[in-house]
Amino acid sequence: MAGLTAKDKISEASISAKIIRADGTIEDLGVIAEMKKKSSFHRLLSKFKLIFGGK
Amino acid sequence: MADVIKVVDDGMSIITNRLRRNDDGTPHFLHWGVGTTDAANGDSAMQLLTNCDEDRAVGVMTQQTTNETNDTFQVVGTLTCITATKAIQEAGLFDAAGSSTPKVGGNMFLHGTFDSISVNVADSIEFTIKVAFDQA
Repeated sequence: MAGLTAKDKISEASISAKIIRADGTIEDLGVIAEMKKKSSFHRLLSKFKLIFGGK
Repeated sequence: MADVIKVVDDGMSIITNRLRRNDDGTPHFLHWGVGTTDAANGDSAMQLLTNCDEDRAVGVMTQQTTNETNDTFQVVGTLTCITATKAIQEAGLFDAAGSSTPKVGGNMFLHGTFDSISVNVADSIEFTIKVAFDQA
C-alpha cells in the first residue's frame, strides 16, 4: 500500500516594521518583506525536528 | 475511496501553539543585520553583522488568525541600536539568544531581507513577523 504524505504548506510569511526614533517619533513602515511562495511541509517538519529534537 | 491525508485546520493551530511554547528551542530571538543578498532557503545565519553588536531581542509569541483560527505564528520584538548608525537590510528569527559579539549561533527559523532602514544610535525597530500555515 502506498504511503500517504501531507502536502500542507507554509502559505505566507511576512515581516512588518515600525521605527521608533530616539526622539520618540514613530514611523510605521508596514510590511517590508513578504513570502507568498509555497514551501514544503516536509521542510517545516525538518525545522520541528531541529527545534524539538524529534526523530 | 481515494487515499487522502490532511493536516486539518485544528492541526495548524497545534503547530502554531507548539511553536509559541516559551521554552528552550522556540524560535523567538530576533536579530538584525546589514547584509545585502536576498534571503535564500539554505540560509542558516545572518549575512553581515558589522556594527550589529546588539543582543537578540526576545520576541513575544502569539497565535494569530489569517485564514483559519490560530493558523499563524507571530513574533513581535524590538531591537535598539547601541553601536553605530547603520542600514538594516535583514532580520532573522532564531531558537537561541546566541553568543559572542555580535551574536551568532542558534538555529535560524526565518530570514527576511528588505530595502534598507537607516537607524542611528538609540533608534529602535519593532519587528512583527508572521508565519501562516495553509493546506492549499
